[in-house]
Amino acid sequence: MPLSLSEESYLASSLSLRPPCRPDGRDQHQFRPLDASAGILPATNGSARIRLCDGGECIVGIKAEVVESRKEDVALVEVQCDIAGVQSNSPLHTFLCTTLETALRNTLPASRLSIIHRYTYKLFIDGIILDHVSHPLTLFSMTVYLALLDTRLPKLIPSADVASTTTSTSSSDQPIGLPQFESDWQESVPLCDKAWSPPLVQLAVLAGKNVFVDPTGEEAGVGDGAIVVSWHQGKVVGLRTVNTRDSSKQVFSASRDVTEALTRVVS
Amino acid sequence: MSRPEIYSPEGLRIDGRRWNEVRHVRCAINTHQASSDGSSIIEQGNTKVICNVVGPGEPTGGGVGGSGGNQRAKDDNRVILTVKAVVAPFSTIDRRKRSGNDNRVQEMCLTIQHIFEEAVMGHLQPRSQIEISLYVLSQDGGMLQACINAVSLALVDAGIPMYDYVCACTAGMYDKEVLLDLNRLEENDMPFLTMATLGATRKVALMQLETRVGIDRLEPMMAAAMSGCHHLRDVMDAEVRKHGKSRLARTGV
Amino acid sequence: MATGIKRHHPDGSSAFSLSMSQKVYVRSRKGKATKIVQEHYLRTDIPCSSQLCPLCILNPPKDSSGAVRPAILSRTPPSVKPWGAHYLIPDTNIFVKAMDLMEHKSAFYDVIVLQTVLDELRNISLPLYNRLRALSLSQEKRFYVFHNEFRQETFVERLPGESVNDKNDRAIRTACAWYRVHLDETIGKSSAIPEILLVSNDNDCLRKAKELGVACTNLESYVKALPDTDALLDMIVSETSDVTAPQKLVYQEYYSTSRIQGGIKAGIFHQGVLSISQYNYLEGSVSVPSFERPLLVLGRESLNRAMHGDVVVVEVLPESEWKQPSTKIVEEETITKDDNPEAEDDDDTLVTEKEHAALQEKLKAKNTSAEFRIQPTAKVVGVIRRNWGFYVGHIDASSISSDAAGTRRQTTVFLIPMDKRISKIKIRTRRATGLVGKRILAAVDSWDASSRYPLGHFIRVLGDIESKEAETEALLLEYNVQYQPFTQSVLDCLPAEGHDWKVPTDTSDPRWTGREDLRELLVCSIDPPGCQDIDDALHARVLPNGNYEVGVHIADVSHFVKPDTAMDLEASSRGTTVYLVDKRIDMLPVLLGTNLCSLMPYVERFAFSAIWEMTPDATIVSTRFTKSVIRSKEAFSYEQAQLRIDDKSHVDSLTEGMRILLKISKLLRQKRMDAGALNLASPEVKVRVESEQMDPVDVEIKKAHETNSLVEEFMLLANISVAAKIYDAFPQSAMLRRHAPPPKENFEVLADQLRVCKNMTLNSETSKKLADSLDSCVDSSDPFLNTLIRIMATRCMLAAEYFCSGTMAESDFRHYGLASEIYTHWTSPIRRYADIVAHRQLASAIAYEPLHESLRDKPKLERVCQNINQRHRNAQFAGRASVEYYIGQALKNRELDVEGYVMKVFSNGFVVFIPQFGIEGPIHLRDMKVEYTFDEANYALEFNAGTEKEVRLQLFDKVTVHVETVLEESTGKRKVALRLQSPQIE
Repeated sequence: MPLSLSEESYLASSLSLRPPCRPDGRDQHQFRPLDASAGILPATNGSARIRLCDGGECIVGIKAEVVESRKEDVALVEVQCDIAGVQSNSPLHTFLCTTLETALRNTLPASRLSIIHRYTYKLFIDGIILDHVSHPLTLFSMTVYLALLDTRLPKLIPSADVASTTTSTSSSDQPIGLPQFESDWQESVPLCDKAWSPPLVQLAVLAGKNVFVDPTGEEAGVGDGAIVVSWHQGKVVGLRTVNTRDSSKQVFSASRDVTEALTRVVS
Repeated sequence: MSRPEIYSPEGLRIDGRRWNEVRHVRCAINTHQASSDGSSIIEQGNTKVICNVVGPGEPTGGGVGGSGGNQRAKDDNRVILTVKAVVAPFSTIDRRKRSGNDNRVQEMCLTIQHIFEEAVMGHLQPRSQIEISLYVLSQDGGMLQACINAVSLALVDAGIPMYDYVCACTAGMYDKEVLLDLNRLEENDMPFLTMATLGATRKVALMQLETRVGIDRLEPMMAAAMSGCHHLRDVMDAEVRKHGKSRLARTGV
Repeated sequence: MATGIKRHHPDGSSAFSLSMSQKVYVRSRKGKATKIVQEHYLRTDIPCSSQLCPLCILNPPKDSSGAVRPAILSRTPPSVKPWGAHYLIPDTNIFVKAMDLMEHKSAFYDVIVLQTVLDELRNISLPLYNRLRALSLSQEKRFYVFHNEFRQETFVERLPGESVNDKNDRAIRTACAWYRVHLDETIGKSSAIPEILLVSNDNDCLRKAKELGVACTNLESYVKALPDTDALLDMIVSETSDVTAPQKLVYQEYYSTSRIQGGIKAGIFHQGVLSISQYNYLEGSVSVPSFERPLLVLGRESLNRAMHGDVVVVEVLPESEWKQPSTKIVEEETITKDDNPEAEDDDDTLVTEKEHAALQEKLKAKNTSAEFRIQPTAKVVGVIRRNWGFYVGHIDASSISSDAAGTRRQTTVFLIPMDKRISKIKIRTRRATGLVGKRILAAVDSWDASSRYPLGHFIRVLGDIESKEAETEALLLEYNVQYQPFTQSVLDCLPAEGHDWKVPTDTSDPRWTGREDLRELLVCSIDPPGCQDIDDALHARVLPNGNYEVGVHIADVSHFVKPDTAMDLEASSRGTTVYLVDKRIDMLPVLLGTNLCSLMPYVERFAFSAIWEMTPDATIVSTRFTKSVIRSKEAFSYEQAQLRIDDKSHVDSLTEGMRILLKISKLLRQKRMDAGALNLASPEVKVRVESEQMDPVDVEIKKAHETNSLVEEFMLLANISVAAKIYDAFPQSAMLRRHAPPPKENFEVLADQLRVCKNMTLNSETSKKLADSLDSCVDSSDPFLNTLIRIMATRCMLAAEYFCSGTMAESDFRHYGLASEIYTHWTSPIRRYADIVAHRQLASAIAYEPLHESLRDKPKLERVCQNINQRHRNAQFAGRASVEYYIGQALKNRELDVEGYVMKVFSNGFVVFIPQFGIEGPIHLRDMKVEYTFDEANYALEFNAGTEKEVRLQLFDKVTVHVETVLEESTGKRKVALRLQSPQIE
């Protein structure tokens, strides 16, 4: 139910206070409790589901396919989503998908997906947002993050024959073997390890000099603007302001907490 | 790799079931209280479907990609059902993106809409609308049957008056052998029908058969499918009663 | 009725509960890696199937019709010292090595086939799996498939780090142990408990089994404990030599599967079926879509262990190495005669000097040859599917080392297959000397890159070489003809009345429903003399409006052979009746073929009739089909019918009807010829274009009566009418027959030969033009030349084939040889299965009976078509081989000079066709001490005989040859040997 003008004004001013006062009593950097589970869909390479206490829910499934990477510009990650109650291909879809795609493409080294010479995995990340009350970006990103942590890729069987062709051939149209994979799923390798973990993208709302992570719908509605922060392995890798005047570093420390919490869920 | 035995001469199916056995059914209701009036999750083997029901409420003028039940709103004193389904791209073995107005999905929505327009006591909620959303997360045969069962459970959870559960089950004909509740491999290999009955009765709410089958083969398939439906009714009913008991216990009645 | 499967819930509400696990694996195909998840239910109701077990019989699982499978394993299994009475559990490797033993009548009864083993076997070899399944279904040898993977107690999950093989071995041992305990518990002490004996050649597995307390043995020790050890031991697939020792490679190793798949995908490699030349065992060819001409595969090195019929992957050689097909006759026997089978190929050279010389000639020829004969060459880099089956041959006596004679040591000998296209096979046996001079059945097991020849094993002795029984059986085996007597379950499908079966006299009998009473029609049959299985009969009469009514009546076989019965399955599998010179291998039991279905004169028979109304100029006014009852008035031979028609004194209605038939048949024939139907006159040729009415025994050019073509025309008409009808009724699944137009290239060589040698032109653009140009290829001085050209033209054509209408575009339905848009086989249901299918479809199309499920099932029909096409081809080959054998025997002690024609010219010999016997044979120039030159462009050989004048021998020349027969050393077949008599060149 939309807020009345006076309610809005009250909320805006209480958020601008220093220290601010959030309607649900949260700290500026505090996330709402959530229910997260990974590996819920055995037929995918990786999957996760996160439910927020406001009823927001997102399910992400990741499928890895073997593709030829002959062309340099082949996109190795594709993010798509379906949002309940929103017409497909809306600006919101584009915003969610391109934001995450960009974050992933900027942080995911191609070597992590490459299989052998011109073959590589391509990740198809598909999300279903069953319901959302607040802005779904944080929810979607967290679910994708979790699903990526859960993702495993089939293990390549090293083949002497394939190796020899790569070294001995001078011309490019020599026959090159197709990759063969270990049939046992237990042998599959996780996509993420200590060296690389996925990026997270957070939406934070600005109100006066204050920054709020995990804003509720109402908070986002009255804020002065919002920023989108991409965060990867302890570093900020992207920052976009959405209709805002100022930014703050405070979001980052909060993001770190989230990452750690989600990693714990997976392990 | 050669094709495995779909039905061995020893009478065992590819996954170790016998001809008249249905897969594991796991179901739950009231799974999404926050976002819907009625909800359910059902897993039949590796086919997994979530259903959310919103309503009855005021007609909104048709949902996105819905089956357009609203056209008939004006001249009808009955409830309007809209059915939307999202088939997740990762639900199939090879990823496959279905656009919102994919014909197969549209057809399935329409089928479900027609079934439940008859099963729901629509005259009790004139000029109101019930929105049904289905999410197919994983497919291993029997998508339609799982959707129908999920809708049944979610409607019950939403407290919408119905004549009975609508329970659905598939049955196929492999050579001369009837097989119940087919998985994906079996579905690809033989003609099969999906049947839905009204509870444990012999009233058939749906019979869908898309392949040619000799008329003499139809009867045993129907008989098997019906027994499968009745079995599913028992499973669903048990779940609803279990849920009801635990809720009553919580409220302390 | 429906049973649910539930997990073990703590409340245990379900009485019958199964636990479930998920099978998760990666499917790696065509470079893709897909995660697959499958449910796997574990149960406790899979019976042990021992007749001794009182427990498993209590609550046996039922199928959907309520039937229960009886226990299979005997109460008194065979007893072998030292194990006593036992059930056998062989591991996968044992089935790979000894499937022939498993099928042998003398041992291996009461065998438990584990699911693990069956699955592994299927992944190794589909044919072996099918044989094992057939064994378990026949129940004769009491093979029971125990689904251990689905039984709770015997299900084994892979341990971390455990390989799939180790897991499977463990599963086998677990199942053995379970059987042991299960039988001990259930049978109790009241009766003797059979031992469970694990047979494996894996020492590690045997050791672990012993630790578990499972009785076990290796295959050799087990067989040695059986009677008749030697014969049985010979049947075990030979071990390839010790793998630990580094082997010198004689051949190039095949590329890895991944490289082959990648290459095919990239278009660098090509896949196709290899066929080896009849005349040169070192020359193969592979037809692939991307090349217009077949790819030549020349020499042992390029063939790289591929055998005739294998599906191979080839790599095209650089264009500089492209060649033309061999112009030489090369037979393995003459070249590799002295190879020693025991020697492990220690000479470095793969290609022996002599083979090399034979190949050299091709290199030279390259520059001189006409451009159009250059073909791309290729080498085999991988084999997708082996065509290995059974091979009939004999032991090369010279390959038995002298010290082996008389000893019982296992020696390696060569088996020389009768089929010249097949390489000789190394066989290990202890009875080498005893096998000399016998026809032997053997199988090929392997062909390593380190071995010059393939390795195989002995299966059984058919009999002495040249004995009629052995040779006939050899022939049937070679062409995969099923010749075993019909089983009891097939015979049980016959009417109980047997020979006394009669058309019911009471026309209200249900069998009369939908049948027209045509008993009064003046129907007669015209067949070759002595014909017993009379498929067809005819009638004709004048209608009041001046038009003619013509009827073709075909034996109503589908009345007796109902779909999906044992008899139907047998007939479907046999596909066709096979005619040998002295033997007929029936498709249907003789009671039907020669009695109940046969349209014999003077008796009432069920028939299926096609009836036309025609105008006097043979234009069809209407067509109808009906099931009927007829009573043939007379059974004529072609000659009798001809005499009767010609004899003006006969004026009865039957003869008049026959005259009408003759008149119309001539009109029909003319119409067909005008449309471009081909007339190919020799017996062999006739077989290929469908008119299979002729008896292949008669190799002499038969005096053709007009009545021959009378019957033929009406059969064609009936087939065409039926084809149109069933296609109309079942556009997706009609059983039809097509004959694709021959590719233009096929006629290039023949056209060139005719142009060069005879100054004749051959135009193969359309069948009409071909027919016309064939008609014009006449040499007035030599009437046979035209027939010869027709025979050669026929060889340029493709074989006609059965197909299911839904699998082809309508434009491809055309029958080229008959110049008909649509065609099927309907007129000989007694001897061809396709006709039975067409009968059923027609019966349904006219609403006589509903169409059976299997006749609407496109994939099933496709399989039927594939099989009957193959059977049909093999039947022709077998028939021809039988004629060849028969001629060889007839000429055994005779020598004579006959006329022949040069049919092919090679640089070192030529092939002569002898019209009198309808056979052809090569003449090698090396046998004649003459100098000669090979004029390739003119297809001629020029001889500088001792005399002054030069003798020139060109293609199509008429020659006189001396015919005698010799027992050909290489194949053990009695062959016609030819020697040139005139022109004199020596």
